[in-house]
Amino acid sequence: MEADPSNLAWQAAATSAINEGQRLFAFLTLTLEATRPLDLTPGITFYHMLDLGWDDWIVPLRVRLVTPQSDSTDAALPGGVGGDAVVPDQPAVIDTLKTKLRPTTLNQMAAEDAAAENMRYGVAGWDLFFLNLQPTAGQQALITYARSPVDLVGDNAVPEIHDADHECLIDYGEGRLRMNQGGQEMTTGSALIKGFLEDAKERGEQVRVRSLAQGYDHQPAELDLDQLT
Amino acid sequence: MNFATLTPWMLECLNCSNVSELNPWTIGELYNYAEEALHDIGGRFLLLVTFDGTILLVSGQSTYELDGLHIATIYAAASGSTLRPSTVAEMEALDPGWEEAAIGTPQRWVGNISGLHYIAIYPPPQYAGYLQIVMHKHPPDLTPAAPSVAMPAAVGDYLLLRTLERARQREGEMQMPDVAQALGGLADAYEQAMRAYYGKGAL
Repeated sequence: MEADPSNLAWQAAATSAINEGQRLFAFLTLTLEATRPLDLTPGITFYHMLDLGWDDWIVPLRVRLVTPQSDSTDAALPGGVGGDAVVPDQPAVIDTLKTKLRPTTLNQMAAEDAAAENMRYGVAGWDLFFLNLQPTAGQQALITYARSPVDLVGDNAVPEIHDADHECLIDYGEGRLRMNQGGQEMTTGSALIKGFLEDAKERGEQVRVRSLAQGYDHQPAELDLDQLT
Repeated sequence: MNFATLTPWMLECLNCSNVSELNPWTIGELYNYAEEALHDIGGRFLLLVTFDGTILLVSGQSTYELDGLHIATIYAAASGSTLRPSTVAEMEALDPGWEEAAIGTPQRWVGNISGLHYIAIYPPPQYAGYLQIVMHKHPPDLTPAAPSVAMPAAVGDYLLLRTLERARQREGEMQMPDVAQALGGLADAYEQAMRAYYGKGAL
């Protein structure tokens, strides 16, 4: 298809290509985050995040356990519900405890079994979120997670990834459209896609440094572009 | 994620404006390519992990049938008590008569008794209860009639790229090996991330 911004079909194809590029960029770099509460059900320790409507889910970055407090005096005490640190939002009027949960694995959970004292969380596969101890009534998991972007729709939509990365999205969109044509167009398109991946790798390395500093539990993938065929 | 939402973009990548223009491919064939790619990564990476707490433990019964899509058991518990993983060889070394053991409080699960779809509990439970299992599962089918699979959006894009790769590999006038190779290379980038985030699978 000839590049023609006035052609609706071309617009739709270009938008699809850029949306795909933005989703890939977010997947490779974990640059987009969101924080949402998950209502925990007493007795339930396993949750499928995608089935629960967290459609933009990629991986969890940080999980805090929110426990309602009936007595604000108790809430100010350190220790919380077996966690590592208490992070009150407003110590003077606190009505909840926010306890950072450390990550665990199913193997560690099996090894500890009933001996576990501190609540931990884990994730298995692409969306199975679990806790090693049963939550109590009213508790929530406040989950900061890497997410997929919202699709661009219409002329005025703005990509969610950082402004500095918008240029490489254009490269991706152009590269993908050229790639479909084969021959010389594909060669040009492949070069643009390669540039996009190099930009994603660079951004991912920056996000990794920031994630480590923030104590996040997942970092962006370490891309090896030489391994790509 | 509804794979059907990617259909217009998939058609555009094949230089078709609608399904009726698909030639030599059919929409069913393209879905087959996507499904094969999904099943491939579903075994190679630890993507679909599910919890099943619905298997009823029967007093005195040691063997239980698992979900038909089961690939590997990762964790098992009997009525809330964690069971230790064991192999048949380990059980034979531990107790030569383990298959006819007397009922008691379940301590172990054995995953390689008979193919992929059965699990044994040792000793057989004395009381009824529930077997709770976390398992690595094979992804479901992906067809035009059932295009939705609970998966991250980026994995849908990965399936699209593998679909286009296979479509462009197909012998005939529309074959474009260079395009297929380039699309496959891009799909490999997704695989690097999936391996990093979700881990290697059992197959």
